[in-house]
Formats: sequence, structure tokens, C-alpha cells
Amino acid sequence: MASSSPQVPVSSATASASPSSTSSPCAACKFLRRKCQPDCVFAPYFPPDQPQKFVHVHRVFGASNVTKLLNELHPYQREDAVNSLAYEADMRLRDPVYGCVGVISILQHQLRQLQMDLSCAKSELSKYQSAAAVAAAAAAGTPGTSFGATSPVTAATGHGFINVNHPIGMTGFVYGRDQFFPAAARDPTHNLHMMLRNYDADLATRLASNGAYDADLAAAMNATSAAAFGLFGGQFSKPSAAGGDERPGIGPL
Amino acid sequence: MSNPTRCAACRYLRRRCCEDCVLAPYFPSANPHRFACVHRIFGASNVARMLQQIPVEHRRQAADAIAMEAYWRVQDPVYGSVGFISMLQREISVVQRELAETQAQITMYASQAQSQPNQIAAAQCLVEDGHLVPSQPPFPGLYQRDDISQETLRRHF
Repeated sequence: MASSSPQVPVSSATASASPSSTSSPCAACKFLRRKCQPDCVFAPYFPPDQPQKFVHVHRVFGASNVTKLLNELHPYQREDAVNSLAYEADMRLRDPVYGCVGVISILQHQLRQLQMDLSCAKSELSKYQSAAAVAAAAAAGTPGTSFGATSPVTAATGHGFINVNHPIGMTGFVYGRDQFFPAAARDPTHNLHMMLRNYDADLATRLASNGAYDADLAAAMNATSAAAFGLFGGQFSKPSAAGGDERPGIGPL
Repeated sequence: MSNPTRCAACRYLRRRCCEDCVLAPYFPSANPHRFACVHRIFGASNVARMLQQIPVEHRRQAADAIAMEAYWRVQDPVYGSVGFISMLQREISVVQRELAETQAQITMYASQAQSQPNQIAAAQCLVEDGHLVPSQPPFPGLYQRDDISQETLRRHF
């Protein structure tokens, strides 16, 4: 599994470039040893100075599959798609077993750790705030006052934790310092195993489910596209899935 | 000798499923959609090659990961699984920022508590005598909270 999670690359190329008859062939046509046509679908996204990008994408996905994928998208979506394919291909080559799924597992683990730390920190903060309030009341000289401070546990809540389990199909994990994950579940590999088992095991269930679950995931995916749009440098118009803005629920088929 | 029950891959590709078919253990015929997604995104030959390059003990995990990536790419042809990565990275930075703010507040309260111990002690006495009834008993070791704060700070800064 990848030990690091590289940032998603921010595209620096625009989609407006197209090869002329006098310019060098794109990286794809150079690799495939064919003439780079003016309407080459790869040319805007695989410039000749980045040969490795196409090599990796071709090794993992294949040029014909990438062509079909790009042809299904609007032109303004293609650069983002190519960059995400290149990222996935890089991750798959770095980690032939888990690829991007390994990165997701690691990030999920990091996020859970941070959320637990945040919960503990908020609990600790609320203790200080309670003590400060008690001290202020004592200084004001109001004995006998019933001090109904909120408990640290309730004070510690309130952060809108994203349920990192939902997009990947994991179930049964809870947060909080006192509700520890099983020791094995702290291991991203174990989480991945659970995730992948649920992927197959919940197939029929997720097909049958609707309503709130899919709405949550659709909202998560909308946030995803907005986040990815930001990470890709904001050079493009609003991303949307091919065929419309409405996203289907995420979960195994 | 062919496999009497063709795997999903060989059924999809309309070919004979050999005994040593590399895809058969990971693409059972009961789940044809799984291979359909994988073939659409990666291609059968690419997947077979990738699995052959992986030790046998890791192939199941690899096949599952490939199937998940293919599924996500079918669902979101633009970003695929990278969309989840972006979302998680964004959420991590939000939580990190909030954690830093909370830690800063804790540090502020801790330093105030150190500089005003008498006030806190008085508050604790009132609490212990029952004059003030907080929702939780006074916490011991108030003046030794620095080690916890420092530990938490050290981990996150």
C-alpha cells in the first residue's frame, strides 16, 4: 500500500491547444508511433513534453479505453478526466495491489484519527471553559447557584463529521475516544478488507436501497466534484458527470 | 481442460474458461456486472496482465481494488476514485484547522489557569462544598494539564 498520499495534481495545461501540422506530435501519438491528426483526441491533454503521463495511462487503462472514455465526455470535462486518469494510473503503478483505494484507506484512517483527536481536544477545552465559568461565578460571589454546564461530552460534539465510511460502503464503525475501534480496524489494510467485503456483500442491499442513503452520497459526490474542481486549479467550468448534474448514489452495484 | 462454469470474464468475452484462467477466482459468474465495469475501464487484457504481475496471495485484494476503481469511474467518468481522495483531503484540512484552533484555545486556558491558580482553587472548593453544582466533578491535576496539552501539541504542530 502506498505510504504517502500525494496531492491530486493541479492541471497547468489548458484545453485549447491543438497540434498544427508543423508542431510535434502529441505524447500519445509519439508513443503509439502514428501520425498525430489535427483532431487527435489526446493532443490537448498529452503534450509532447510529458511522455510519462501517457505511458502510465496507457499501461493501466489502454489507449482505446481512454479514447472511449474521453469521447463520452464534454470537451470541458476531458482535461479533468485525463488528469484524474493519470493520477489513478500513477497510484496503480506505485501500488499495484491497492492503487488509489490504498490512498483512500490511508486518508480515511488519518481523518478518523484527526476526528478522534478533535473530539478529545474539544472535551478538554470544555473542561477548561467549565472551570473558567465556575471561577467567574465564584468571583462574582454567587454561592448556591446551580451550575448546569454542558458536559464535556456534549460540548465536544457539534462538528459535522463527515461519515467517511459511507462513500466506501463500510459499516459499523463509531467515533469517540471511549468507543475504540477494534485493534485490527485501526489497520488501514483491515479497513480495506472490510470495505471490499462489504462492497460485494452489500450488492443487492444497495441496489434496493434508496432515499436518504443515496441522497447523502449524492451530496458527498457533489461536494467531491466541487473539491476536485478546486484542486484542479479552477481553470475549468463547473464539472459535472457526463449526462447531467445529478449523480447516482455511490455504493457497489 | 476448460472450466465447466465459465467465470464472468470468459462469459463476457465469449471464450472458453480454462482451468488456469487468471481472472476466474476474482470474477465469479454470479457477479457479471463487476467484470463489465472492470472491462469497460481497464480492459480484460490489462487486468489479466496486472494480476499476473502480482503475487497470488495479493491478487484478491488487487482484483477488489481494481473493481472498486472501475465502479467509481463508471459512476463518475470525470473524477472516479480521485474524487473521493479530493474530498477526504479537503475534509482532513478542515479538521486539522479546527484542531489547531481548539488547541490554541486550550493553550490559552491552560496558561490562564497557571497564572490564576487561586481563583481555580476557590472555584474547586465551592464545587466540593456543594455550593456550585457543575455537571461533572472537579477534575484532578488541573495544574498538570500541560503535559497532555504539550503532548497533543507535539503531535499536531
